[in-house]
Amino acid sequence: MTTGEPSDQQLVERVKRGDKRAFDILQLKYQHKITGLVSRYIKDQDEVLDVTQEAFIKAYRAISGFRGESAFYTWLYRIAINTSKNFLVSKSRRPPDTDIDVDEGEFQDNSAVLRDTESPEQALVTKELEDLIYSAIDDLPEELKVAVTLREFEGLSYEDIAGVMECPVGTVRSRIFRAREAIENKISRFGQ
Amino acid sequence: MSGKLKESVSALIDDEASEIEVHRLLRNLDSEQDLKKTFFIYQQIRSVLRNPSDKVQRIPGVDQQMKLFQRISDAIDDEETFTIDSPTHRNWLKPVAGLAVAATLLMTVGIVFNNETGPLPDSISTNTPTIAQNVDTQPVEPEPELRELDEEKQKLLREYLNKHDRMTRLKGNTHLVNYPPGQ
Repeated sequence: MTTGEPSDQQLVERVKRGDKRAFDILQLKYQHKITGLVSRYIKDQDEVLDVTQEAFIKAYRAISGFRGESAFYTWLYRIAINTSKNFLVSKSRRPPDTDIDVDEGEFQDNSAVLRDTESPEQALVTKELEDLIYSAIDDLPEELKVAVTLREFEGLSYEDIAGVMECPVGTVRSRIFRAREAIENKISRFGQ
Repeated sequence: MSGKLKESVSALIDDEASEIEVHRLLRNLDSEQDLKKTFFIYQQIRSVLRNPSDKVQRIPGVDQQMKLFQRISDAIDDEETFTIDSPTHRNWLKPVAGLAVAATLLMTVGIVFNNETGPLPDSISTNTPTIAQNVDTQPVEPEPELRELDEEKQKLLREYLNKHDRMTRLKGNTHLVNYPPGQ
């Protein structure tokens, strides 16, 4: 088993050799995270989508110069932040003084970054989705619940979770997957 | 879509996918339409669990992510495809080409000096235009032995090598072997 970076690096090398589908995988892996990051700089959702697209295209064009000296996501994150800031400047809006840390890009709160006022409808939809997901987790068998909780809330690696749960890494991987599948089934009726 | 593929997606978003799994995903990416959606669903679940709800509201939902993915993928398809001749790949060719030039130069210098040490063998000096025929039809001549050069020829060789060294230094990025002066 490998960790993420070697697989990211393999994908980058494939892109450099002309395999555009490898870039699709990188995009699928990080697009959600990047839209989350961009949405912390830019309010309008259409603009978030446009800036995310621009960031990925810039990344593709520059990927031949990516040497793997940093993690691929760190490199992509920097491109996304710069693209967001340039966008704000081009719209005569002031970018925030401080950057979002690479480790908290999608997560955590950061008061220095622009905040949004959500519509009540959006808030309701998100609350409903949140309730469904938490309820799905509550309904999980104990071993799946522990595995997915350690992964999503504590951010532990599969190996660490295997140590905590005293089971093989393969079992952890399977439990986390089964937990996600169960949650997915529960929210599948929910309008995306 | 097979559970195995979805399990690979689950592992990949956790940075725990093996090389084989990544290859399998690549192979099935276009044929399994739900595969892409699975990426976004799993990440939406993560996003809801890890973010305060006011942040989640701003992140586009699964359907929007899917549309955005397609938009970007189409835009990337219109971009130039990297090939082995792309600038990044040409970089490694420079030192290799440089070494090849250096090797050719050394061989040429060696032949010149070996030839200057004595008359050419009759078979070559008299049949110069038909060297290829000689190679095919005549027995292979034994390799000329390395001989110590007299002082004048050593001086000439040093000049060649020094000149080569100067050229190498002038073109510092070619990564040619630098010869110590006087050898």
